[in-house]
Amino acid sequence: MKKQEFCSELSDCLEIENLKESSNLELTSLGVLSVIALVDENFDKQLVISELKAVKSVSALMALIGDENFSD
Amino acid sequence: MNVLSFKGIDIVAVAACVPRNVVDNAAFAKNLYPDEIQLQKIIETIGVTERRVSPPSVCTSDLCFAAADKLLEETGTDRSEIDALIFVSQTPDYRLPATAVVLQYRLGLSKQVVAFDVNLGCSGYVYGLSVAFSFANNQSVRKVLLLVGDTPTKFVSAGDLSASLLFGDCGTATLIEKTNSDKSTYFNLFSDGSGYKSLIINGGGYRNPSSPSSFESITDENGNSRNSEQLYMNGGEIFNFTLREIVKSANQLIASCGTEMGCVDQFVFHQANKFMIDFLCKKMKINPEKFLVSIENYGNTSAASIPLTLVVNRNENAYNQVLMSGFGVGLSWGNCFVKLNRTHILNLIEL
Repeated sequence: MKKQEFCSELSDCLEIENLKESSNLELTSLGVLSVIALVDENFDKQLVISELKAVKSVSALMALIGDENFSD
Repeated sequence: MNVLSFKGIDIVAVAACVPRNVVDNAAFAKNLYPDEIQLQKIIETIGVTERRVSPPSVCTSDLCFAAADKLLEETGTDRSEIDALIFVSQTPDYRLPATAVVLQYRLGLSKQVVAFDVNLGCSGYVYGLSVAFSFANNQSVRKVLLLVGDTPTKFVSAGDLSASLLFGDCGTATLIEKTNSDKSTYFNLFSDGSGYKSLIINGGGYRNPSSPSSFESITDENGNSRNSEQLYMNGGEIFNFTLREIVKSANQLIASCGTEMGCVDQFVFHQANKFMIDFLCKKMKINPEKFLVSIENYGNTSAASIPLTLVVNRNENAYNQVLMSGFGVGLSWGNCFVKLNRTHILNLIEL
């Protein structure tokens, strides 16, 4: 998956418009569930919940998922 | 443990009893969520429009008693033929004695009955069935009465932003009997205590006894307020656990029965919340029509959710090969593949 595609999917699932790699991000408890589902579906990967809750930006979330999981 | 298998033992009847009191979540949470849109979003995600909440005078045992009494009456069961009574719950009447023993007397069962409690939550119905089948497998046991229920609304803080909207109360009764039919039933059961803190009531037991401070409410960084004698739930950890273990273990059970998911007629999974149920259904590529739900009108009823789901969907479904899956607090989980084509499912009872 390309990074831009991920940002668009993340925007849809969190219902936050125009998220970009540089955007700030703070997840609500519902947001945490949505991201777990998104990452499971697209990367077949589980994130550590405490690390996910500590995320402050989209780029930090992408770093948790791992650069190797993006095709660009 | 590998798969437990039984032959010639049937689930004869299932009954469920809920409190008459209906709580509408939108009205209930008005003060908790000043933002109406946010509240609507929460209700849609967890999928609970309304739930049944017991008054202080009604315990889990009362709901189970009503379900069992009606079940025994409607099936014309001779009470003296019940040889085992198992009560699965996290909300017993007393710290001691065991509620099952009290219920033996209250239900008018024989003193020959084996009666004991099992402390499990969301996995409790599947675990309880496996214990009931194990007893019924013995030549000297005629009938087993499995009572499974919880009243989680009694241990959830009204200031918990999500849990206070999620849970409902219910008690159920299931009659298990050796019929010597050619039906086979399969179970697989699991435990992972490393996740015990993900769903926990920390205070009020013997590790952290009740004290004035155990009743002091603390507000966390997300705005949830609760004391240590009320439920703490880490939704993210539970969701991660569910995705990691449930699909895999359900697939393992179906494969070891020598069948495939396509042969399952109904899927009756623990009603954790709508988001999780929908995601499991999608991940397992199950036709949603086969994936039964009860969460919208009854909430998450903990150990009772599987039999309650069978009861509330009885008119729309001719039950046959059913895959049940219970998962949650412990962490504890288990699956059961069972044929219910001759099981008598009673109408929902209200108390």
